[in-house]
Amino acid sequence: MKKVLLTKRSIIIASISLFLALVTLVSAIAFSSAGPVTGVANTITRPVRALSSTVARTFGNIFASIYRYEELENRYEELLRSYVRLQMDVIDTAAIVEENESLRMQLDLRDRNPNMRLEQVTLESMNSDNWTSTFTINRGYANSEVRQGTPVSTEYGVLIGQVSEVGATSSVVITVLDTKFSAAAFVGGDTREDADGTVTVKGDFLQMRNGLLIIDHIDDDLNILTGASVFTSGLGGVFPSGLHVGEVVAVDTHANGIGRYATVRPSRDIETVQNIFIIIDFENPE
Amino acid sequence: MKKKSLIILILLHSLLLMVVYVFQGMIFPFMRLNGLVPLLLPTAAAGVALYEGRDIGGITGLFAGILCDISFNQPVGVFTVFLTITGLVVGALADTIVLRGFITYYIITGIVLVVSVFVQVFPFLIILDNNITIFTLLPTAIEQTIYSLILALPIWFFIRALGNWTDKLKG
Repeated sequence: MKKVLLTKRSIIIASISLFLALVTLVSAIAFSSAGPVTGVANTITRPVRALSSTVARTFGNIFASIYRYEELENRYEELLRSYVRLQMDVIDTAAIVEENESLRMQLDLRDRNPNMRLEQVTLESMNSDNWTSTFTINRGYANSEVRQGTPVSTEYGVLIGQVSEVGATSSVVITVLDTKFSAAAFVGGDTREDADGTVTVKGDFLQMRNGLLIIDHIDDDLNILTGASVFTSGLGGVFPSGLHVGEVVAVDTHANGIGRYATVRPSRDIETVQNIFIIIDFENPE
Repeated sequence: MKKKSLIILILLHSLLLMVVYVFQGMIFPFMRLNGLVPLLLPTAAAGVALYEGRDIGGITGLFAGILCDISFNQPVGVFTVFLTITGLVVGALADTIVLRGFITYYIITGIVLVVSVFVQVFPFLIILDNNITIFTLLPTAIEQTIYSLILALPIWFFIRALGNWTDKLKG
């Protein structure tokens, strides 16, 4: 066995593998990048990924329709009930128009932050391991101003992640569900004045599979209600203020009885998101 | 083996790896079952090594590892080395003391998948905190292994067919 394993050919194959890993390790330590080997491998597999991504997303949508049939049915019932309720109510058109305008204002990212520079990107592939939540986009240091930490959102100002690694022509984005993600946020409003309080929203391993993130260590004097909206606060300057993160779905006490945490459903299902933007530049109000 | 046969052999193995990569890295991430994606490339690397021997196993492991790292959105490294060694060791075992067959394939695949899980959770084990404990990681690890083992079955048919075809070429 030993003679069969330690032959010249085996040693050459193992050496190539170790050499590639070593090059990546040196690149990671010296240049904080994924390195030329990863770059070349990504470039070679790019056509396959680009082609498969389109097919896969179509399959994904079909799969989601089947898998979530029951959920959709319940949702449909719920919506039908609310529709009937709404029809029976006397609708104050003026109030609705006003509310609509307010929501539009809230969502219109560019209007609220004219100094924000957005660049549209394409999702290349979702990660396939069950321990992290990341995806790759088709922008890197060679074809964009993207850098590590760049926020990633939809056109409506919904935060979906943050760039974690920048390659030559592609970058890795950790989603809001990943355990490495955390952001300072307001709960209940998009400004300090409107908000109920300031919290840290972060990814959690247990909730990642359910597509949720959490607000941990909630202050005792902070009253967070189910349905409250969570917005980035802009504190620390990592994210622009006012990006919508999600909605609180539950507030619970930890199993050990010490402290409360809230689970937050992201505003956008990342797997089905169509338009993705990187926020290259922004200014937070004083 | 004739040069033409060798080229066809390389092409077929490359095709197998690419198809498995497309399923693991492109299709299943959009079709998560209970929030999980199965590991297919380690299964393919171990299977090919079992049926084709040390050299082809090692090379297949090398490329399967690179593709695995890419599909995890990680820099090329950890799985590249791990699957190369897996290919070489499983291939050497198959060349010497292990019989090629369905049961051996399943046992080896199971071991490789368990070690793969350990490789994946290793960073979490180093930085264990209050929210992430071994018991937090265990359900995902078990479910991922079972899910991957189920999908190892269809992969076996292709690997066995490829192995038989290679045997014919070798005469």
